[in-house]
Amino acid sequence: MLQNRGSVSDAQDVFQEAITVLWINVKEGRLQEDVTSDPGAYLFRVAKNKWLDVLRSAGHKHSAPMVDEKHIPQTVELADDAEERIRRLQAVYSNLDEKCRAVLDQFYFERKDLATIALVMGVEEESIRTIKYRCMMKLRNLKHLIGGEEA
Amino acid sequence: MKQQALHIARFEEIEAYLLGRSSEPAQFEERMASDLDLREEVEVQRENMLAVELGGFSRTIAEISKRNASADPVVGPAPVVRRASTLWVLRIAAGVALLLGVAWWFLARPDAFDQVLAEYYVADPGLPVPMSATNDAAFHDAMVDYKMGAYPKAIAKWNVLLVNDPQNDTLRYYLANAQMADVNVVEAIQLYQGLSADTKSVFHDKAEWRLFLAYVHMHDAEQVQNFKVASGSPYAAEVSAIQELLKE
Repeated sequence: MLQNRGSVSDAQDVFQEAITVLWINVKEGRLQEDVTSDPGAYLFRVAKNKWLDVLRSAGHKHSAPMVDEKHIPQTVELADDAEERIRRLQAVYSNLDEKCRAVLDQFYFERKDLATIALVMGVEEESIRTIKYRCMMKLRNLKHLIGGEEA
Repeated sequence: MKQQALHIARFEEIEAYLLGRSSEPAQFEERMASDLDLREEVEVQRENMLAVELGGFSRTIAEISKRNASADPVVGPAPVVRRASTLWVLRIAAGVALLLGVAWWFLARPDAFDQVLAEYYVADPGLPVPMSATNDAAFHDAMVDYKMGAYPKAIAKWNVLLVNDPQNDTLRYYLANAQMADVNVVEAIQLYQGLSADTKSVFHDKAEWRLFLAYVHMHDAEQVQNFKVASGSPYAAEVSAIQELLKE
Protein backbone atom coordinates (compact mmCIF):
# COMPACT_ATOMS: atom_id res chain seq x y z
CA MET A 1 0.00 0.00 0.00
CA LEU A 2 2.84 2.38 0.81
CA GLN A 3 4.20 1.81 -2.67
CA ASN A 4 0.76 2.28 -4.12
CA ARG A 5 -0.31 5.76 -2.92
CA GLY A 6 -1.28 4.70 0.59
CA SER A 7 -0.30 6.11 3.97
CA VAL A 8 0.50 4.30 7.21
CA SER A 9 -2.89 5.36 8.53
CA ASP A 10 -4.58 3.88 5.43
CA ALA A 11 -2.68 0.65 5.99
CA GLN A 12 -3.83 0.44 9.60
CA ASP A 13 -7.47 1.08 8.67
CA VAL A 14 -7.44 -1.48 5.90
CA PHE A 15 -5.74 -4.04 8.11
CA GLN A 16 -8.30 -3.56 10.90
CA GLU A 17 -11.14 -3.99 8.45
CA ALA A 18 -9.54 -7.08 6.94
CA ILE A 19 -8.96 -8.69 10.32
CA THR A 20 -12.59 -8.05 11.27
CA VAL A 21 -13.67 -9.79 8.06
CA LEU A 22 -11.46 -12.73 8.98
CA TRP A 23 -12.91 -12.80 12.50
CA ILE A 24 -16.54 -12.89 11.41
CA ASN A 25 -15.88 -15.54 8.79
CA VAL A 26 -14.15 -17.70 11.40
CA LYS A 27 -17.02 -17.13 13.87
CA GLU A 28 -19.55 -18.24 11.30
CA GLY A 29 -17.49 -21.16 10.00
CA ARG A 30 -17.39 -19.84 6.46
CA LEU A 31 -13.70 -20.29 5.80
CA GLN A 32 -12.30 -23.07 3.72
CA GLU A 33 -9.42 -25.23 4.88
CA ASP A 34 -6.78 -23.42 2.86
CA VAL A 35 -7.70 -20.21 4.66
CA THR A 36 -7.68 -21.63 8.19
CA SER A 37 -4.27 -23.15 7.59
CA ASP A 38 -2.84 -19.82 6.44
CA PRO A 39 -4.88 -16.91 7.85
CA GLY A 40 -2.07 -14.46 7.14
CA ALA A 41 -2.27 -15.08 3.39
CA TYR A 42 -6.05 -14.69 3.48
CA LEU A 43 -5.69 -11.43 5.38
CA PHE A 44 -3.23 -10.16 2.83
CA ARG A 45 -5.59 -10.97 -0.03
CA VAL A 46 -8.56 -9.29 1.65
CA ALA A 47 -6.52 -6.20 2.52
CA LYS A 48 -5.15 -5.99 -1.00
CA ASN A 49 -8.61 -6.20 -2.47
CA LYS A 50 -9.91 -3.55 -0.10
CA TRP A 51 -7.12 -1.21 -1.05
CA LEU A 52 -7.89 -1.67 -4.71
CA ASP A 53 -11.50 -0.71 -3.91
CA VAL A 54 -10.22 2.44 -2.23
CA LEU A 55 -8.06 3.31 -5.21
CA ARG A 56 -11.04 2.88 -7.51
CA SER A 57 -13.18 5.14 -5.32
CA ALA A 58 -13.82 8.82 -6.05
CA GLY A 59 -11.02 10.11 -3.85
CA HIS A 60 -8.43 8.18 -5.82
CA LYS A 61 -9.93 8.22 -9.30
CA HIS A 62 -6.78 9.70 -10.75
CA SER A 63 -4.60 7.02 -9.23
CA ALA A 64 -3.95 3.95 -11.29
CA PRO A 65 -3.56 0.77 -9.19
CA MET A 66 -0.16 -0.86 -9.60
CA VAL A 67 -1.60 -4.37 -9.22
CA ASP A 68 -2.82 -6.83 -11.78
CA GLU A 69 -6.52 -7.10 -10.85
CA LYS A 70 -6.95 -10.30 -12.82
CA HIS A 71 -5.17 -12.17 -10.07
CA ILE A 72 -7.54 -11.40 -7.22
CA PRO A 73 -8.45 -14.79 -5.72
CA GLN A 74 -11.97 -16.16 -5.43
CA THR A 75 -11.76 -16.42 -1.64
CA VAL A 76 -11.91 -12.64 -1.41
CA GLU A 77 -15.54 -12.78 -2.57
CA LEU A 78 -16.36 -14.05 0.90
CA ALA A 79 -15.12 -10.76 2.27
CA ASP A 80 -17.71 -8.71 0.38
CA ASP A 81 -20.62 -10.54 2.05
CA ALA A 82 -18.90 -10.31 5.40
CA GLU A 83 -18.34 -6.58 5.06
CA GLU A 84 -22.02 -5.94 4.41
CA ARG A 85 -22.90 -8.09 7.40
CA ILE A 86 -20.36 -6.31 9.60
CA ARG A 87 -21.81 -2.93 8.62
CA ARG A 88 -25.34 -4.01 9.61
CA LEU A 89 -24.20 -5.51 12.92
CA GLN A 90 -22.15 -2.42 13.74
CA ALA A 91 -25.15 -0.20 13.02
CA VAL A 92 -27.21 -2.12 15.55
CA TYR A 93 -24.46 -2.14 18.17
CA SER A 94 -24.04 1.61 17.80
CA ASN A 95 -27.56 2.08 19.15
CA LEU A 96 -26.61 0.73 22.56
CA ASP A 97 -25.76 3.15 25.35
CA GLU A 98 -22.48 2.92 27.27
CA LYS A 99 -23.96 0.99 30.18
CA CYS A 100 -25.44 -1.64 27.88
CA ARG A 101 -22.18 -1.98 26.01
CA ALA A 102 -20.22 -2.40 29.22
CA VAL A 103 -22.46 -5.19 30.51
CA LEU A 104 -23.02 -7.00 27.21
CA ASP A 105 -19.34 -6.82 26.20
CA GLN A 106 -18.27 -8.40 29.45
CA PHE A 107 -20.89 -11.12 29.32
CA TYR A 108 -20.91 -12.13 25.65
CA PHE A 109 -17.45 -11.09 24.43
CA GLU A 110 -15.22 -11.45 27.49
CA ARG A 111 -17.42 -14.33 28.73
CA LYS A 112 -17.41 -13.19 32.36
CA ASP A 113 -20.19 -14.52 34.57
CA LEU A 114 -22.83 -12.28 36.14
CA ALA A 115 -21.24 -12.38 39.60
CA THR A 116 -17.90 -11.17 38.23
CA ILE A 117 -19.50 -8.37 36.23
CA ALA A 118 -21.51 -7.34 39.29
CA LEU A 119 -18.31 -7.22 41.32
CA VAL A 120 -16.50 -5.13 38.69
CA MET A 121 -19.40 -2.68 38.30
CA GLY A 122 -20.22 -2.52 42.00
CA VAL A 123 -23.87 -3.54 41.71
CA GLU A 124 -25.99 -6.54 42.63
CA GLU A 125 -25.81 -9.59 40.39
CA GLU A 126 -29.59 -9.42 39.87
CA SER A 127 -29.23 -5.87 38.54
CA ILE A 128 -26.68 -7.06 35.97
CA ARG A 129 -29.06 -9.82 34.93
CA THR A 130 -31.85 -7.28 34.44
CA ILE A 131 -29.64 -4.80 32.58
CA LYS A 132 -28.42 -7.56 30.28
CA TYR A 133 -31.99 -8.61 29.52
CA ARG A 134 -33.15 -5.03 28.96
CA CYS A 135 -30.23 -4.26 26.63
CA MET A 136 -30.69 -7.42 24.61
CA MET A 137 -34.39 -6.61 24.24
CA LYS A 138 -33.35 -3.24 22.86
CA LEU A 139 -31.24 -5.03 20.24
CA ARG A 140 -34.09 -7.42 19.54
CA ASN A 141 -36.36 -4.49 18.75
CA LEU A 142 -33.77 -3.28 16.25
CA LYS A 143 -33.56 -6.63 14.50
CA HIS A 144 -34.97 -5.25 11.27
CA LEU A 145 -31.70 -3.35 10.95
CA ILE A 146 -29.73 -6.57 11.22
CA GLY A 147 -31.65 -8.92 9.05
CA GLY A 148 -33.60 -6.60 6.82
CA GLU A 149 -36.69 -8.08 8.42
CA GLU A 150 -39.78 -5.99 8.86
CA ALA A 151 -40.33 -4.95 12.47
CA MET B 1 -42.09 -13.47 13.34
CA LYS B 2 -44.58 -11.78 15.62
CA GLN B 3 -42.98 -8.96 17.60
CA GLN B 4 -44.14 -9.97 21.06
CA ALA B 5 -42.51 -9.47 24.43
CA LEU B 6 -39.94 -12.13 25.23
CA HIS B 7 -40.09 -13.24 28.84
CA ILE B 8 -36.77 -13.22 30.66
CA ALA B 9 -36.97 -16.96 31.36
CA ARG B 10 -37.40 -17.76 27.67
CA PHE B 11 -34.66 -15.28 26.76
CA GLU B 12 -32.24 -16.94 29.18
CA GLU B 13 -33.19 -20.39 27.96
CA ILE B 14 -32.27 -19.39 24.40
CA GLU B 15 -29.14 -17.67 25.65
CA ALA B 16 -28.03 -20.79 27.53
CA TYR B 17 -28.54 -22.86 24.39
CA LEU B 18 -26.52 -20.47 22.23
CA LEU B 19 -23.71 -20.25 24.78
CA GLY B 20 -23.55 -24.04 25.04
CA ARG B 21 -24.74 -23.98 28.64
CA SER B 22 -28.15 -25.55 28.18
CA SER B 23 -28.73 -28.51 30.49
CA GLU B 24 -31.01 -30.13 27.93
CA PRO B 25 -29.83 -29.07 24.45
CA ALA B 26 -31.34 -32.08 22.66
CA GLN B 27 -34.78 -31.36 24.06
CA PHE B 28 -34.40 -27.71 23.16
CA GLU B 29 -33.54 -28.64 19.57
CA GLU B 30 -36.55 -30.93 19.41
CA ARG B 31 -38.75 -28.03 20.45
CA MET B 32 -37.11 -25.78 17.86
CA ALA B 33 -37.81 -28.31 15.14
CA SER B 34 -41.53 -28.01 15.73
CA ASP B 35 -41.79 -24.38 16.83
CA LEU B 36 -41.14 -21.78 14.13
CA ASP B 37 -41.40 -18.84 16.53
CA LEU B 38 -38.78 -20.33 18.82
CA ARG B 39 -36.51 -21.07 15.85
CA GLU B 40 -36.74 -17.50 14.63
CA GLU B 41 -36.25 -16.13 18.13
CA VAL B 42 -33.05 -18.17 18.44
CA GLU B 43 -31.76 -16.77 15.15
CA VAL B 44 -32.48 -13.18 16.22
CA GLN B 45 -30.70 -13.72 19.50
CA ARG B 46 -27.74 -15.36 17.76
CA GLU B 47 -27.42 -12.28 15.56
CA ASN B 48 -27.67 -9.93 18.53
CA MET B 49 -24.98 -11.79 20.40
CA LEU B 50 -22.78 -11.66 17.31
CA ALA B 51 -23.33 -7.88 17.08
CA VAL B 52 -22.14 -7.53 20.67
CA GLU B 53 -19.13 -9.77 20.14
CA LEU B 54 -18.23 -7.84 17.01
CA GLY B 55 -18.48 -4.59 18.97
CA GLY B 56 -16.14 -5.97 21.62
CA PHE B 57 -13.73 -7.32 19.03
CA SER B 58 -13.60 -4.05 17.07
CA ARG B 59 -13.07 -2.05 20.25
CA THR B 60 -10.23 -4.33 21.31
CA ILE B 61 -8.49 -4.15 17.93
CA ALA B 62 -8.86 -0.36 17.88
CA GLU B 63 -7.41 -0.07 21.40
CA ILE B 64 -4.43 -2.24 20.48
CA SER B 65 -3.84 -0.22 17.35
CA LYS B 66 -4.04 3.03 19.33
CA ARG B 67 -1.61 1.74 21.96
CA ASN B 68 0.74 0.60 19.25
CA ALA B 69 0.58 4.00 17.56
CA SER B 70 1.18 5.95 20.76
CA ALA B 71 4.07 3.70 21.74
CA ASP B 72 5.73 4.37 18.42
CA PRO B 73 4.90 7.83 17.08
CA VAL B 74 6.34 6.93 13.69
CA VAL B 75 3.60 4.33 13.17
CA GLY B 76 0.72 6.78 13.38
CA PRO B 77 -1.14 9.03 11.01
CA ALA B 78 1.35 10.05 8.40
CA PRO B 79 1.43 11.78 5.06
CA VAL B 80 1.29 9.80 1.86
CA VAL B 81 4.49 7.88 1.38
CA ARG B 82 5.73 7.33 -2.12
CA ARG B 83 8.84 5.37 -1.31
CA ALA B 84 8.76 3.54 1.95
CA SER B 85 12.09 3.04 3.64
CA THR B 86 13.04 -0.42 4.79
CA LEU B 87 12.74 0.74 8.41
CA TRP B 88 9.17 1.90 7.90
CA VAL B 89 8.23 -1.33 6.25
CA LEU B 90 9.72 -3.30 9.12
CA ARG B 91 7.87 -1.20 11.69
CA ILE B 92 4.56 -1.63 9.93
CA ALA B 93 5.18 -5.34 9.55
CA ALA B 94 5.86 -5.56 13.29
CA GLY B 95 2.62 -3.72 14.05
CA VAL B 96 0.69 -5.93 11.68
CA ALA B 97 2.22 -9.06 13.21
CA LEU B 98 1.27 -7.86 16.69
CA LEU B 99 -2.31 -7.15 15.65
CA LEU B 100 -2.55 -10.46 13.84
CA GLY B 101 -1.24 -12.32 16.87
CA VAL B 102 -3.65 -10.63 19.25
CA ALA B 103 -6.60 -11.08 16.91
CA TRP B 104 -5.76 -14.75 16.46
CA TRP B 105 -5.52 -15.08 20.23
CA PHE B 106 -9.04 -13.66 20.55
CA LEU B 107 -10.26 -16.14 17.99
CA ALA B 108 -8.63 -18.93 19.93
CA ARG B 109 -9.94 -17.99 23.35
CA PRO B 110 -10.63 -19.19 26.15
CA ASP B 111 -7.98 -17.75 28.44
CA ALA B 112 -5.72 -19.68 30.82
CA PHE B 113 -8.28 -19.77 33.65
CA ASP B 114 -10.97 -21.11 31.33
CA GLN B 115 -8.56 -23.67 29.94
CA VAL B 116 -7.69 -24.89 33.42
CA LEU B 117 -11.35 -25.16 34.29
CA ALA B 118 -12.10 -27.05 31.08
CA GLU B 119 -9.28 -29.47 31.85
CA TYR B 120 -9.88 -30.07 35.56
CA TYR B 121 -13.53 -29.36 36.32
CA VAL B 122 -15.83 -32.34 36.06
CA ALA B 123 -19.29 -32.15 37.60
CA ASP B 124 -19.64 -34.57 40.50
CA PRO B 125 -21.64 -37.57 39.20
CA GLY B 126 -23.86 -37.59 42.31
CA LEU B 127 -24.77 -40.37 44.68
CA PRO B 128 -26.44 -43.64 43.77
CA VAL B 129 -30.00 -42.73 44.57
CA PRO B 130 -31.06 -45.55 46.94
CA MET B 131 -27.93 -45.25 49.08
CA SER B 132 -27.66 -41.56 49.84
CA ALA B 133 -26.40 -40.53 53.24
CA THR B 134 -29.52 -38.66 54.24
CA ASN B 135 -31.82 -41.63 53.67
CA ASP B 136 -34.45 -39.15 52.65
CA ALA B 137 -36.91 -39.49 49.78
CA ALA B 138 -36.93 -35.76 49.09
CA PHE B 139 -33.14 -35.77 48.90
CA HIS B 140 -33.21 -38.69 46.43
CA ASP B 141 -35.80 -36.92 44.34
CA ALA B 142 -33.53 -33.87 44.00
CA MET B 143 -30.57 -36.15 43.32
CA VAL B 144 -32.44 -37.54 40.31
CA ASP B 145 -32.87 -33.97 39.02
CA TYR B 146 -29.18 -33.32 39.64
CA LYS B 147 -28.14 -36.40 37.72
CA MET B 148 -30.45 -35.43 34.86
CA GLY B 149 -28.75 -32.03 34.67
CA ALA B 150 -31.87 -30.20 35.90
CA TYR B 151 -29.76 -28.17 38.34
CA PRO B 152 -32.24 -25.36 39.11
CA LYS B 153 -34.83 -27.98 40.16
CA ALA B 154 -32.31 -29.80 42.34
CA ILE B 155 -31.19 -26.52 43.92
CA ALA B 156 -34.76 -25.50 44.72
CA LYS B 157 -35.52 -28.85 46.36
CA TRP B 158 -32.26 -29.05 48.33
CA ASN B 159 -32.62 -25.47 49.53
CA VAL B 160 -35.95 -26.42 51.09
CA LEU B 161 -34.31 -29.35 52.89
CA LEU B 162 -31.41 -27.22 54.02
CA VAL B 163 -33.71 -24.98 56.05
CA ASN B 164 -34.50 -27.86 58.40
CA ASP B 165 -31.10 -29.52 58.26
CA PRO B 166 -28.48 -26.79 57.83
CA GLN B 167 -25.56 -28.87 59.15
CA ASN B 168 -26.06 -31.85 56.83
CA ASP B 169 -22.76 -32.00 54.96
CA THR B 170 -24.06 -34.36 52.23
CA LEU B 171 -26.84 -31.94 51.47
CA ARG B 172 -24.53 -28.92 51.52
CA TYR B 173 -21.95 -30.63 49.32
CA TYR B 174 -24.39 -31.64 46.59
CA LEU B 175 -26.20 -28.33 46.78
CA ALA B 176 -22.82 -26.64 46.22
CA ASN B 177 -22.15 -28.93 43.26
CA ALA B 178 -25.54 -28.12 41.77
CA GLN B 179 -24.91 -24.39 42.20
CA MET B 180 -21.52 -24.76 40.55
CA ALA B 181 -22.94 -26.78 37.67
CA ASP B 182 -25.64 -24.14 37.21
CA VAL B 183 -22.91 -21.46 37.12
CA ASN B 184 -24.05 -19.83 40.36
CA VAL B 185 -20.43 -19.66 41.42
CA VAL B 186 -20.80 -17.20 44.30
CA GLU B 187 -23.41 -19.43 45.98
CA ALA B 188 -21.24 -22.49 45.36
CA ILE B 189 -18.22 -20.79 46.94
CA GLN B 190 -20.13 -19.95 50.11
CA LEU B 191 -21.17 -23.58 50.54
CA TYR B 192 -17.74 -25.01 49.71
CA GLN B 193 -16.11 -22.61 52.17
CA GLY B 194 -18.29 -23.95 54.97
CA LEU B 195 -17.48 -27.55 54.09
CA SER B 196 -13.75 -26.83 53.73
CA ALA B 197 -13.71 -25.44 57.25
CA ASP B 198 -15.17 -28.69 58.60
CA THR B 199 -12.14 -31.00 58.70
CA LYS B 200 -14.22 -33.90 60.05
CA SER B 201 -16.58 -34.01 57.09
CA VAL B 202 -16.06 -36.83 54.60
CA PHE B 203 -16.54 -34.21 51.90
CA HIS B 204 -13.77 -31.96 53.23
CA ASP B 205 -11.09 -32.72 50.61
CA LYS B 206 -13.50 -32.71 47.69
CA ALA B 207 -15.10 -29.48 48.85
CA GLU B 208 -11.70 -27.87 49.20
CA TRP B 209 -10.74 -28.92 45.67
CA ARG B 210 -14.01 -27.66 44.23
CA LEU B 211 -13.67 -24.40 46.16
CA PHE B 212 -10.30 -23.94 44.48
CA LEU B 213 -11.84 -24.62 41.05
CA ALA B 214 -14.62 -22.14 41.83
CA TYR B 215 -11.97 -19.46 42.39
CA VAL B 216 -10.44 -20.43 39.04
CA HIS B 217 -13.88 -20.08 37.50
CA MET B 218 -14.13 -16.57 38.97
CA HIS B 219 -10.70 -15.70 37.52
CA ASP B 220 -9.79 -14.73 41.08
CA ALA B 221 -6.00 -14.82 40.72
CA GLU B 222 -5.35 -13.72 44.30
CA GLN B 223 -7.49 -16.47 45.86
CA VAL B 224 -6.03 -19.04 43.47
CA GLN B 225 -2.44 -18.15 44.32
CA ASN B 226 -3.05 -17.91 48.09
CA PHE B 227 -5.04 -21.13 48.27
CA LYS B 228 -3.64 -23.78 50.61
CA VAL B 229 -4.97 -27.33 50.76
CA ALA B 230 -4.97 -29.39 53.95
CA SER B 231 -1.92 -31.56 54.44
CA GLY B 232 -2.47 -34.98 52.91
CA SER B 233 -5.11 -33.75 50.49
CA PRO B 234 -5.30 -35.99 47.41
CA TYR B 235 -5.64 -32.81 45.34
CA ALA B 236 -2.45 -31.09 46.55
CA ALA B 237 -0.48 -31.87 43.38
CA GLU B 238 -3.23 -30.58 41.08
CA VAL B 239 -3.66 -27.39 43.09
CA SER B 240 0.05 -26.74 43.01
CA ALA B 241 0.30 -27.40 39.26
CA ILE B 242 -2.59 -25.05 38.50
CA GLN B 243 -1.13 -22.31 40.71
CA GLU B 244 2.13 -22.60 38.81
CA LEU B 245 0.32 -22.51 35.47
CA LEU B 246 -1.69 -19.41 36.38
CA LYS B 247 1.15 -17.50 37.99
CA GLU B 248 1.32 -14.97 35.22
